[in-house]
Amino acid sequence: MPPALTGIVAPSLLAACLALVLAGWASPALAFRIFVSNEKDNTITVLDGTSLAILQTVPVGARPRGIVLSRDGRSLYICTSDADHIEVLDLASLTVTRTLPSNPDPEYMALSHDGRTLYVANEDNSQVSVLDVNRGQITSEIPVGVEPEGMAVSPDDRTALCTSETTSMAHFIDVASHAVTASVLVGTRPRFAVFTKDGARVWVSSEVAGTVAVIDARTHAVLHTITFDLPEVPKNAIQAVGINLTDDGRTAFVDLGPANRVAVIDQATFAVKKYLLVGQRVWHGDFSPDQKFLYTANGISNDMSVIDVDQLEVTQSVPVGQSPWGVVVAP
Amino acid sequence: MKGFAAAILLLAVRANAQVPGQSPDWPCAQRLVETLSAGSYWTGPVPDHPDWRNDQDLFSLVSELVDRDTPEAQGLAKLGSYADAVPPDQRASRLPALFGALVDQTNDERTPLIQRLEQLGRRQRGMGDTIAAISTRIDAMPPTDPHRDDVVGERDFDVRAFQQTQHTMRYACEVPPAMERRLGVYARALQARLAAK
Repeated sequence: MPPALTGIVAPSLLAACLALVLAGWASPALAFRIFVSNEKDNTITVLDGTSLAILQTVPVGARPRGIVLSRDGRSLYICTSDADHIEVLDLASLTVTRTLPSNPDPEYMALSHDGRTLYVANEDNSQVSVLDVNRGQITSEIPVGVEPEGMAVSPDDRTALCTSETTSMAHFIDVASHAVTASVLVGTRPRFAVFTKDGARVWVSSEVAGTVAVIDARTHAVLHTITFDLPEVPKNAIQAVGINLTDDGRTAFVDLGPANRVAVIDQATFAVKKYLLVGQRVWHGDFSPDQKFLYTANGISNDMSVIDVDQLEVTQSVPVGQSPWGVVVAP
Repeated sequence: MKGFAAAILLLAVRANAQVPGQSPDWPCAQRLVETLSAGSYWTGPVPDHPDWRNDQDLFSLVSELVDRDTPEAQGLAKLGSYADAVPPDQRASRLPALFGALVDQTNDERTPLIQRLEQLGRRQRGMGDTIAAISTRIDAMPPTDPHRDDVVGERDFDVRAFQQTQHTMRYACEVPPAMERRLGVYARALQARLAAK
């Protein structure tokens, strides 16, 4: 290339390369969306993860509550409780493309880590439905305690766990044999369960007791029961529901329902470090892909709170639909 | 009709399903929080001024703000006007005190409503039991029984009454959360003013 031409072309090439590099840097931050289920207006609110602007409000079946992202990130499974089935929202077209069977009034479900199986708790018949996602069929039913509610699956997919409202137990289920291998007594009305990333422990929240039990996943011993001390809030308003654990094993966030607080807990010591005032009746939340932010669905104030995970501060309230219930972030 | 009655009975059974630690008469899906407290909405201390109702101006303002006939935007505007008129050096004490009064007034209006809902829930449980008993009687009657049509008609009347009440309750159950939501809106507005001082 002649020197004169180099002098002209090189800066523009450089600028183009720079633009490409910047675009490359910028795009991962832009490339996630937040999905919020709104149980009263039968919609899913879709927000841009960076700007928090509402991109679209998608109508779905009646009373959407529990939502789970498929392992390939292409679909959102939605418990449409009053429609008595599970809907599959295609995240490219933002349309419901499939309906999966369930027993009446599905509320929450857990997805195996291989992405093939959904475990759905059925309050009405005291069973856990095992749903083959690809075939769209319930392949078996596992009898468990009365009124099963919360569901979780271990990272190795060998153990499923469901909580039973009436018996206040967490039932460990061997996935291969469908046998209940242990039933662990926890606080009254257990609602939600989640395994730690290494699978060593399970955290189980109890709504009426307002506590969280941390259970050893191998021995099934309750290692610790976390209580919440908010003297200014009536005890019956402290209702532990959703739990989010950071992948680094350091921090847990527990949603306290009508106490309008998210409790921040040290995962190692179980000490409550802080209470964050969020929107009203906080149910469930999810992290941004980099886990720098936690988004919570607040059922009465009809908004989503944004929590800065490093600073442990609530930075924003974003209006969504009517009676938001669940949040899922899709990278 | 048998399947229809069974569906109604299922509703009755659900109405009967008791949540641990909660009144069996509470008919709404949301867990009942009987009394709202300022601490659920507020980060700092809220002074307790039980005699705020003696201040006629404050009582009038708070009553209007909590009144469900007052549109939220109008309530917020009134709240803002009051807050802006408070001298800056008094805001740290008077704005939390105003919020405390709003909580008291909301509870004053919300508590009788909750009691009425529980009465309705109790009545529905009784109605469910009645429908179940009549259905059992019908099942035991031979089809040729000359009184059977009358009993079926009686059952159908009760089923319609049950359904109408269920329909009404769905809307009535929305009122306590709406009052809580309004309180939260006011709390955030007042705290934003305190933070901006």
